[in-house]
Amino acid sequence: MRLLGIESSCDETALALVVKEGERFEMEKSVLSSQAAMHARYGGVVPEVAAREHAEQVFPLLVELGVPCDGSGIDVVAVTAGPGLIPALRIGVELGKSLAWAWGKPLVAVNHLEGHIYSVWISAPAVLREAKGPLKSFDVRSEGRIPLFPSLCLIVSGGHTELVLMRGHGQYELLGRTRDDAAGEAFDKVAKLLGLGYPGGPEIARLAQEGDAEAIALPRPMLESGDLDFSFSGLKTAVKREQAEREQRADLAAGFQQAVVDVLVSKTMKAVEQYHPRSVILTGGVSANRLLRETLAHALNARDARITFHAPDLSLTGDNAVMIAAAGAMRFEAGQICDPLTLSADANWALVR
Amino acid sequence: MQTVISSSPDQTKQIAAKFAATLSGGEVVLLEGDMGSGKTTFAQGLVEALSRGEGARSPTFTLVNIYPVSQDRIKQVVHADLYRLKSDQELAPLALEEWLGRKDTVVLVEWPEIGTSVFLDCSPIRVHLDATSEQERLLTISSYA
Ligand SMILES: Nc1ncnc2c1ncn2[C@@H]1O[C@H](COP(=O)(O)OP(=O)(O)OP(=O)(O)O)[C@@H](O)[C@H]1O
Ligand SMILES: [Mg+2]
Repeated sequence: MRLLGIESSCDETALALVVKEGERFEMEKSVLSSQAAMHARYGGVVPEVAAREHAEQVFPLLVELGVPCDGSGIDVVAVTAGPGLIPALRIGVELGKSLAWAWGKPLVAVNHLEGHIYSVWISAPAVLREAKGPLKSFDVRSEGRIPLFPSLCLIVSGGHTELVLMRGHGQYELLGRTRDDAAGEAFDKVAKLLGLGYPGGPEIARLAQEGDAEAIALPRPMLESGDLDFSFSGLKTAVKREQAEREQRADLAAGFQQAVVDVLVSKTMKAVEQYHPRSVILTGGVSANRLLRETLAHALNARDARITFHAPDLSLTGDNAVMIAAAGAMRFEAGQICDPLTLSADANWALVR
Repeated sequence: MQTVISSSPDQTKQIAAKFAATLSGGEVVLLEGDMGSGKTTFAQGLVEALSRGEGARSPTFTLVNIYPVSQDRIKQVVHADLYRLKSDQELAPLALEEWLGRKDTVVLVEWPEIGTSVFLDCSPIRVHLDATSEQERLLTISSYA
């Protein structure tokens, strides 16, 4: 089965072609509106602004992807229908509807968060090997393993921080989420406070390597809250306060990163104890953070080595359409096909209703 | 103009809840103040007071969050955050004009400065938060004159 994936829920417009054969997913091609090459070829525009002006980007992206005008060779169209920013979502949804209708191909609607989860199914899920020695030895290895159910998913990105229990394909239970700022948002805001660039995640991780995570005491919000919810706004405020008084930017970056990782990992481990998953999936933009991957992998290994750990290939941690096509394949196989004449974007589409 | 001092996040939410009781729909509320001054905390108090559903979260990345409200007059709170926008040209993709001034909607905007010219037409209410100490916030509520 060959799928066209379409994603436009927030900043990024993305298209991808993905092939599914048996249990295996293979990414054929993926294009993103933010890609420098796209801007060079179709007019130099500022990525962040332009990426939200999705309409103008759709055709250059279709051309770039090499989609034949008659849709030949494509079996299913999968599109993100929510959650997200309505005007942005509409672009992708209307494109998906038009193509599916014109081509006479089945259309499936995908939840953006579900897409992030399915990013680990693509091209053999990445399994973290035991990380030994310094951070350089970090090694994400594909072992062709697929997450077994029940699977515990930690979705961490700029706009989301959610712990979800997945009992089977398409079966989700929300265990916890942030009550204020998302983890990725905290990274970006703290980067701004420390005078670092955007996106803040990699910048903080880099500066943190030069710092001592224990030099400055920062809070671990909600650690003892008794539930599986998160809160990161207090950490942002704490960094702001400390930063006004000291010069140690690297120590603050290291301390902040450690605090976020500690909270994310300890809540995930609490959920592991309560729900006994057979696998754990870490996904979303913040899942690119090396310390987070390593710390969670170690904690899981120490708890029960039989629990497999899955995180997406680094190229698939951010928003992309590959993951949407992968999730779409599952929805298609479950027979969840939409009517291209009536599908509409849903800004608040909750993974769990 | 009205000023009030809050000495905890909960108190800021209570002030927001009292403020919510004065709203009848159609209002545009600009939440001003530095990072961590409590704009989202205020929005949480306001949304909790109006709806029984889930609380408000920071819209910094999602840009616009919409919370359904089941009241006679107010049907939704639209919570926007312009923090990530670099110019007012980026406002259009948010389609806020679909909500501004609608009688069944209350619009809250964090980091509104970049879009002030657009909001001025709606006679917005201004809520300014100032962090005077770790736990203390000075709130100033005024009309935008
Ligand atoms: N009296 C208070 N009122 C509100 N918040 C307070 C108060 N005292 C301390 N705080 C803390 O200040 C922080 C306010 O964060 P919040 O995210 O609400 O700010 P914000 O203005 O929305 O920031 P941003 O610019 O990042 O959007 C919270 O961590 C909160 O616990
Ligand atoms: Mg805020």
